[in-house]
Amino acid sequence: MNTKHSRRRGEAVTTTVTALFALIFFLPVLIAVINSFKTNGEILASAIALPGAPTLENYKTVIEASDFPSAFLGSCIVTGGEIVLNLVVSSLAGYALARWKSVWSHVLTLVFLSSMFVPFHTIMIALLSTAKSLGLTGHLWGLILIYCGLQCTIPIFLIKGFVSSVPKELEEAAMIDGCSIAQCFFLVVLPMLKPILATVAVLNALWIWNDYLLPYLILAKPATIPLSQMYFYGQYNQQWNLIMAGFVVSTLPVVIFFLCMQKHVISGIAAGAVKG
Amino acid sequence: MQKVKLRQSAAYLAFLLPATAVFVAFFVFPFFKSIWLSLTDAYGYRQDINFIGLKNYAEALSNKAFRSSLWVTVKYTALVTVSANVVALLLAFLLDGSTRFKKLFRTIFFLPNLMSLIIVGFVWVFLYGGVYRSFADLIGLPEALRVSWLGPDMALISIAATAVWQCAGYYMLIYIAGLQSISDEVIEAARIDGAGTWDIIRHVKLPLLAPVIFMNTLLLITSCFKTFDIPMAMTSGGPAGATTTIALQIYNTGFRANRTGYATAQSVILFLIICAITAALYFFQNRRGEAAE
Repeated sequence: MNTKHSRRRGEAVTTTVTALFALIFFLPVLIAVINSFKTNGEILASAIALPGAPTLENYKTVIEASDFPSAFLGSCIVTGGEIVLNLVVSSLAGYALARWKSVWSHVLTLVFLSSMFVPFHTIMIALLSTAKSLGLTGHLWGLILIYCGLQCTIPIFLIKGFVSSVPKELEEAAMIDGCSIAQCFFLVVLPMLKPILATVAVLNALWIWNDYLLPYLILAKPATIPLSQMYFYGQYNQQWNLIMAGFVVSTLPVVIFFLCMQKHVISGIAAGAVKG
Repeated sequence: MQKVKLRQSAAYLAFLLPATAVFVAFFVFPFFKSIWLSLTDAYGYRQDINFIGLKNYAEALSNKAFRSSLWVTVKYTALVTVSANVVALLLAFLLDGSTRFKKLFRTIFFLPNLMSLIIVGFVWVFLYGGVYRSFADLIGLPEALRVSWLGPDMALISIAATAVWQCAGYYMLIYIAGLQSISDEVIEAARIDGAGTWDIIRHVKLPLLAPVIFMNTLLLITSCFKTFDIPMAMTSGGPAGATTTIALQIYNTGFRANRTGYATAQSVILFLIICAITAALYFFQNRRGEAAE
């Protein structure tokens, strides 16, 4: 009885402490959301008071002035397109590296692995000139292709690791039945990869959706959400009511995505960190 | 048999081709081109480029602005790595213990990580400016005692705090995964031996978490050394270079001043630093591992 009592008290204490931290973490978001419903005059008077008469005017202005729908579409195309392309490319490569017993597969593994030490800024300038000479700048598909090259290494390792843990017998049986390697991959292996592919997709979404610098260099126009917010910020400098509405509008989609995919995001981060 | 093997190898090669092609085009080739450019006097996208040896490196290492950006980055990395680790560990222990509403709290802590760093930067400029001013007015804080959060003295600490707020939830998730992989039997055994919650955290969980702490520290250090978005959005590197990180310095040299060759030399130095840190941490980790055995 006594231990039960003290355990319950312990629970109350940790819950209170955690709630306190949660409040601190959430306060910035709360302040931003509240101010997104105020006029600029109200914010200048006090940035911590509640709005006198909540207005949606800021949201209207942001959505129209920053052309939010097209930035949102741009972000969706880049992220979605990259994920599809990356899944195809890295599952093929990851499978081959796991199953091919040859010196070359070891060499390639090492080359892919070594890229993890290279910061983006080290290749940034040369990459931009390569992209220019290949005619990839200014196009969403060009950005997708470049992302695929830069973001395929961790997915390849995750998939390679996953394939190695799957017994070979199933594939061998399929091959004895007359499957080619390609058929075997698409009909036998790919369906088994589903869980790791979900992880890879979520990781890619998190890497790419909010990325700023590469899209800025390659697209040079406000075609994704972070870019359009940056332009908007420059244009409406100090109009905090609008900037906070922009924050809410651009954060909402990714929060909804997270709430729907929570399980995959959390297991993906743990898996990605172990390999990364 | 030989023929079958050859056909198999050809198929595997074909599987590897697409990934290798994009990887070589957008990573390997630019990487070696960067190293070559760092040894030249390349300017913007001007065509005539001359080999000048290690001059760019010598200039970078003796240049005051670059050395200051190195120092700024080191301070920033130290601040963020230590604080984010402590906060993330603390939150992970709280959520691993007997806390109610775990899922809700976990979501709140992770929420900032879902946001674009650029937009997070804007929000915090507002918090450090307008919101702080309103708050100081409310409690009647005299003008002389007010802190200029993004002023020369505080700016680096302020952007580091923003970064911790943004990234702690991510590392917390990794710590939670680590804590969950500790078997209940070990903890039960310690409890039977009479260990309290605090003893278990200190003498059982923390030592078992050491590899995860090592990995998070490595991830934090390497990502802090590359930090760009937050200072770009919040201060543009100012005031007077107080928050100009190496990445920002490379960007400014390459794209604002157009000194492509010089900027790539700076970026290769960044690469070497990250390699050195990673190698040193692994060396340290291995030595510790051996000492423990």
